[in-house]
Amino acid sequence: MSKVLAIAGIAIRNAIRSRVVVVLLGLLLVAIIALPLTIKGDGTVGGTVQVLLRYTLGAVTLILSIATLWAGCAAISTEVQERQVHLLVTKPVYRAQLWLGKWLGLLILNAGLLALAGAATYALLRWDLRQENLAQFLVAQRVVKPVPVEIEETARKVFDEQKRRGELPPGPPDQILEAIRQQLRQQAYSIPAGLARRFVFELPNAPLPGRPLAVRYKFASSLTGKDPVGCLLVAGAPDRPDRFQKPELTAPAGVHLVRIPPAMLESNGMLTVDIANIHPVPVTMIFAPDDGVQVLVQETSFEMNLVRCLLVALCQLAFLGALAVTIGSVFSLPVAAVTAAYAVMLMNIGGYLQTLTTERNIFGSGDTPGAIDFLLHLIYVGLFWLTKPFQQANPLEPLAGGELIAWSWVGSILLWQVIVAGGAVALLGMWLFNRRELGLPE
Amino acid sequence: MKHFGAIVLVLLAVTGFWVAGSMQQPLLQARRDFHLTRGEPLENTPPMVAFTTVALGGFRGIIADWLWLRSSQLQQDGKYFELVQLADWITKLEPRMAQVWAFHGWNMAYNISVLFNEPTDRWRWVRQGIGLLRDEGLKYNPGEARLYRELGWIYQHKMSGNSDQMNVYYKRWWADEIGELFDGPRPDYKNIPPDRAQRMKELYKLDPALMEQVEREFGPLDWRLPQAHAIYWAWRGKRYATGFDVIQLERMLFQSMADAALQGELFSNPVEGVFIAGPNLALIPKARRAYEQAIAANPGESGMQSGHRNFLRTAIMVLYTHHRLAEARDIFDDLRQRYPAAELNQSLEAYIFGRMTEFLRDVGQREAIDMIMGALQQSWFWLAMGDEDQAQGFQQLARSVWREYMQTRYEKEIAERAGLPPLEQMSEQAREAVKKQLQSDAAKARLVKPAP
Repeated sequence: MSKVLAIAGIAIRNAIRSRVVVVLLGLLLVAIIALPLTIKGDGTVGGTVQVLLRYTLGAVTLILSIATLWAGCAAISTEVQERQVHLLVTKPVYRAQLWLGKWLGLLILNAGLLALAGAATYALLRWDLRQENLAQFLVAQRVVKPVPVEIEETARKVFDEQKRRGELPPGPPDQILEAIRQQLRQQAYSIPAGLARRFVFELPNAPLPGRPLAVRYKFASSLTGKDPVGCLLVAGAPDRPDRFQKPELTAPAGVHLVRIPPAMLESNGMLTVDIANIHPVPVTMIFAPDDGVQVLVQETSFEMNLVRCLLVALCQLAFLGALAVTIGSVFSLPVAAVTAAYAVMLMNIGGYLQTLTTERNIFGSGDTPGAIDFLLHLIYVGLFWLTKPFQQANPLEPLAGGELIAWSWVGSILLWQVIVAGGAVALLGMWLFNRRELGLPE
Repeated sequence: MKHFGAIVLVLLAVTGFWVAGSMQQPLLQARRDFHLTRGEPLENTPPMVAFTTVALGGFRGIIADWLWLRSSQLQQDGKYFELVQLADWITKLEPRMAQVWAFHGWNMAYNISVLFNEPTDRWRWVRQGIGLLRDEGLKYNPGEARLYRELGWIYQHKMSGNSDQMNVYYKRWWADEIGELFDGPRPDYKNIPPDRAQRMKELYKLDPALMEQVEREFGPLDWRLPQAHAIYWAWRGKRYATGFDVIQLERMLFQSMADAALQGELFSNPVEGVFIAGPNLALIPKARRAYEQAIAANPGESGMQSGHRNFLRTAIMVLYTHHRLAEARDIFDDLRQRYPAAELNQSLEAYIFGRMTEFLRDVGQREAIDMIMGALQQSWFWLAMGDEDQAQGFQQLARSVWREYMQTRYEKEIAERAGLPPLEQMSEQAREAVKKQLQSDAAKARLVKPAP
């Protein structure tokens, strides 16, 4: 381990000596200071906070990602090209240790720069908006979805009943059952005029008493146009005489937030929310099952959320570093840089790859796919699964939006991107580097 | 002399830059001379725009597409905070494409604003839309009639019209803002303090010299109300308009004129919380003329004629209820001659009575205010004249309309947005308006009596 640390130390010293660190610090500083001066928010303090966090930290991670890719690719390839590696391999150092040392050097450098940038961003945000009360915007709220409505049993009953009567429409039974499920789901999350629906939330780890609670909702209206719909939101245990009530004339398609007194939360961590459609004109409110109605509860401090966000970013940089060092240990710097950039691009088009996996006729225009179509399909499926661990949401979105970055998420990124994917890439890199012939005549 | 080659190359580069720079002005002039562009060529372009349009070359389209996709996704997800910045970047990437500016201005003022429940939030987005078009879009495209039209439309339709349920708030806040620029409905054009003139130009892009011209042609306008601004921007855009834009801007002019005639004078007293936009009767002849000119210029446009007919019908009612009988009769004759109809084959008085009955069935907020204010002024006028019966009749009419209208708008939320001010408050306004017109002390003294 001491050899790995020594190599990492040399890598860091080289980076400092070659002014890479100074240049990076300069770029980060420019991003942190200049961006807030040029970026336009939506005119609200909350908007300014979100846009500052999103863009400043976004620019920081982008700069560090590009630098990591470049430095990672250069770490071994330039040593090979300039023949410095010949000195190293004659010493009692394994090539795997050399690989690990280079990667660790990059990781330590990234961790330091990320911590500095995070702290500077936070300090500047506080300084920029020192006149404002930021407590309500710098939050970390857990987003809780309602307990799903049980529809499976009803769907099967409807299916069996239709089958018994011989009223099943033509088609495969599983598709008919799925259609029944969808219909029931839509009914369960729609509120026709004059009716109400109940949404029950089970808050994991009952929040501390007094912590702010809010209901966030979004719906579509059965009417065309965007005329507001009158509704009544009631929260609290159903048997409580003093349930919280708020009538709203609310716009469809918009995202609306209603603060709920923390006292409305039951002692077992349950929150019941009823929404009644009280609009005088017949109109149905249609909620999406996943994000139609959600409860937001303050869970930890913004500062802790920022740390988690930076940890996720560091994990992503750790993988990028591993990928770049591996590619750099096989190819020369220009080839390695282009290859690494291509790999990163593939990792970022997960949505497109997923669409491609559903296509069968990629080349052919006929009904039956050909051999090339089959081959391409296999490639797309392979690529999709290969890049799946990297299709996770950007941690800056929840941080800026005041949503919690759960430890479970940080853990899953650490497990899949650093340990599993990074480990696999590392093993591949060490193996390839070990097999590489370094003393070839030119 | 080992650097000789490098020195020669540097000199060549410097010479090249100098030659390119010196050709800039003649080229710009040639573009103007040969009418190669609809707008003025951009000069002194901000560095960011120059960079994006020149350095990025064809790639800027791809970047703009990506930003546009992100903007649409964020809007769909209800994450609005970034949209102003994205719209700014997208438009700066394609600064000479008027449709891009028009889309984003409209998107903010119309699509995003209505996603909010609070009037302050909605107003912020309407302002963002106006700001993007007026402060940025027109700066880069000063000759694009379409942008004038889009900007004027926000004033005419979004703010002045009543399709948005929060329009009352927009009008009030806009009046508060513009009211700070000058005392009363319009500036004293000869004596605008320099700092005010500068604010008008820099913040609101209102050029006092142009405002005065608009005032001469279409006024007297109350600039605290959005109709005046719709007229101003439509008038400014007309000089650049070709094809369909000409008709559109003409429409905006006469429709806003009609709107200003029927709803273009503000009675405002912030201390009392009074905000009533009533008819600006002095504008009716000019609005008529604007319609007539537009119809003469576009004889095939049946929509214009039907708009004209409706305007004349409403104008008769407004003039009659404001005791401008001669003018009401004049328009009635004109209407009968231009658009013959069975309902016009009767006396003016019988026509008015029939319309009143019809009117009460499906009356809108602004018509109700017009009607009530007119009836109340009539009532005070006849009281001042000593005819208590007539005064009583008009008072009764005002009460009936107020009661009828509010009967279906009693709920607090609806009353706040679409309701009427208290009748007593309107009556007080009407009394003050009548008092100003009276000459004799005896007549004025009769107005001290309580409402009939």
